[in-house]
Amino acid sequence: MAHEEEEPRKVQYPLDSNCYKILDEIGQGVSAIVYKAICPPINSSVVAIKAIDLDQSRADLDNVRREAKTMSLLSHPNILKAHCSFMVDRRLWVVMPFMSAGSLQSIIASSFPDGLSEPCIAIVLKEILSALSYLHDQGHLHRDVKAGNILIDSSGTVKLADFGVSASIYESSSCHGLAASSSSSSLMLTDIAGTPYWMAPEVIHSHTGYSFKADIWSFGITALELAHGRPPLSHLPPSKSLIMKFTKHFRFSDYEKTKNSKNKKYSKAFKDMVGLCLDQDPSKRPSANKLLKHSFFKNCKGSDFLVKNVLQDLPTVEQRFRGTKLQRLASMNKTDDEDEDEEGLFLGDNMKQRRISGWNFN
Amino acid sequence: MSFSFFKPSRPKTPQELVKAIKDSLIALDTKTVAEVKALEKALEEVEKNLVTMKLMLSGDGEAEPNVDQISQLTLEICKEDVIALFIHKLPILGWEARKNLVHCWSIMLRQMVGSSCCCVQYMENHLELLDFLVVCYDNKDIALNCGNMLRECFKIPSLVKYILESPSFLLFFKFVELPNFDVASDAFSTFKDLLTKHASAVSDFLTAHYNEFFEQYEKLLTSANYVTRRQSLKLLSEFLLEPPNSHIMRRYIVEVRHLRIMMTLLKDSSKNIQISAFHIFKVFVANPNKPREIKVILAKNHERLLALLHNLSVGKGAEDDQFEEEKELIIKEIERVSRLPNLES
Repeated sequence: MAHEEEEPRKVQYPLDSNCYKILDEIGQGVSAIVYKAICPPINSSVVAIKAIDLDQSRADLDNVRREAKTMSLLSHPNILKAHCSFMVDRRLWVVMPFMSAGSLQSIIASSFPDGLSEPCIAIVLKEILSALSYLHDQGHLHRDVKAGNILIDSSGTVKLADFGVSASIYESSSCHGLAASSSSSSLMLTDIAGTPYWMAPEVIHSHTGYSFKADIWSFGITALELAHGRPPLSHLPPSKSLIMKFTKHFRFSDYEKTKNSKNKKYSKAFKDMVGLCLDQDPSKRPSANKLLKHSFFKNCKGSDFLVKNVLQDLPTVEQRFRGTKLQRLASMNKTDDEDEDEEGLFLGDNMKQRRISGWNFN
Repeated sequence: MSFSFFKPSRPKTPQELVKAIKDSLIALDTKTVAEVKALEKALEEVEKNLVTMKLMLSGDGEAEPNVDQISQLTLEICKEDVIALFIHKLPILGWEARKNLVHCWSIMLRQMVGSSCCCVQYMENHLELLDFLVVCYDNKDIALNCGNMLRECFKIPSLVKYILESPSFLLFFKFVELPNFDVASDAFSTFKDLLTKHASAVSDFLTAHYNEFFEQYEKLLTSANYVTRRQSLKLLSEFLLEPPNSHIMRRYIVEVRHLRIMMTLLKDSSKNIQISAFHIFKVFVANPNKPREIKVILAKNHERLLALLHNLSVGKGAEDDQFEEEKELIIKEIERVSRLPNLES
């Protein structure tokens, strides 16, 4: 049969760790390390390898498996797809394309502390909406939309990374994908405690009430994060219960009044778009598809605009990672009393074991 | 040259659609490798028809699907033997076509027409199609699509019963260790469904094939692959300790070779594996009717076992209390057995 010619022949990356040469460490989490590497058998192409220690990861193996399967059946230009994944001792190696400019969170932290300009934001968000629209159509949620999960390569291509039940396997703490941790200590705490700042009120309130519209809330928060350099409320400690109190009454207009940026003005279209996403009532938030038609995304510029206005003169991902690592060491003596709170964010291994008394030996 | 452009576009009836699907799938056969263009065209036609079928079965996001049309379509698919064509042609379809087919499959399979599911009946009469799908795990490009279709099938007890008894079931012991993590993961999900979803089918199977099954399973528990060891151990407790399998469990816990494996896993370098192993090991020890050989092993190794158990803890929380309580019981029992006078050989 001629079927081999039918599909565009994908490059088959080798399923053997010896076929990769690690160049540098570019991200680190509690149970995962991200490396920049090359693959000599495939024309020495540059890849990012996320090595997840499955024995340390809080995630249930069932979730890890589900995630791997979901990933493999998705294909969209704005979704970061793994080349392959395989086990190396206790670590799961996920080999991915190397997104050379890293995450928008780390770009902002290193070079745009007051946020990006609106034309740049529009380009990024439009691509992300297109990814979300595809995911939602396919019946999947992302569950963790934020600048740290938006990656960009040297040609200005924007991709959404770490989705699905990734909140549990791709380790929410400390590091997301290529996202080196942020530079300010308050944002560092964010990372340690998971990602409550981006969570929709209904998600924090009840763990069952997650729908597509929760991704839209997080998308709205991400828009503010890109515009402002950090998510709203991030000056508060990241305890879920505390954030919940605020998000319940959170209005974009209040945020505008209280924000302490240097009188940064947002356009009417931007404010309107974010306002729609941050409606307290999930059913009133627009779908990703509908948002794409919002006037904020009219006359959106192309990826070359990002290359010119954002990617020029950026420190490399490796340099940024080293920088944050030093900062992290400097703030090591901080106690993380939010640890308890974090537990609830992960899908633990909840399989109850049968008690001895429950068996029947007869 | 077709003038369809000028025709008023009338949507196809379910019968017309099924005929078009069937013709387009059969057309794939008549094209030879030399006619690359013709084959491409035929595949496009299949793809287009599958999109139409998906819309008819699940609506377009705005309009709800028509229930009568779904029934007619499902009936017609069975009557015209299109299911067999779907499965046999799956390996040559394109990425989107395969995804759409899998989507339609889950809807059609659970579709009741009158008082029965005609697609399930069709599969029961063409069981070899299940074997075909299982073998597809070896083809990495279509493995996940086949996995999805299989798991839909394995919601039905009769189909589970068939595959457990079929030689293709043994292939799963190989598939769950494939180097490609996605494929191995998918195969394990299916394997787990087979062993946990339909208690009585599993119980019958384990009773009839106890020795060959556990011989194979032992290879998973002692595999060099960390994930294989960890998940096969956890799965073992999920089916072995279930009430319908209690006779299997009683047989299992009096065999020295199984105890040896659990003792090995109890000192695995992974803490997760140690904990899971404890939850099976404890049953061997707590069994009030331990045979002499089991007691001898426990007595001989009691010092090492007690040291291991003292070092074992799950961490924090309510589960911890229960774990510690059980651990104490098990430690006491091992101590008691080790003092029994008549075990020296």
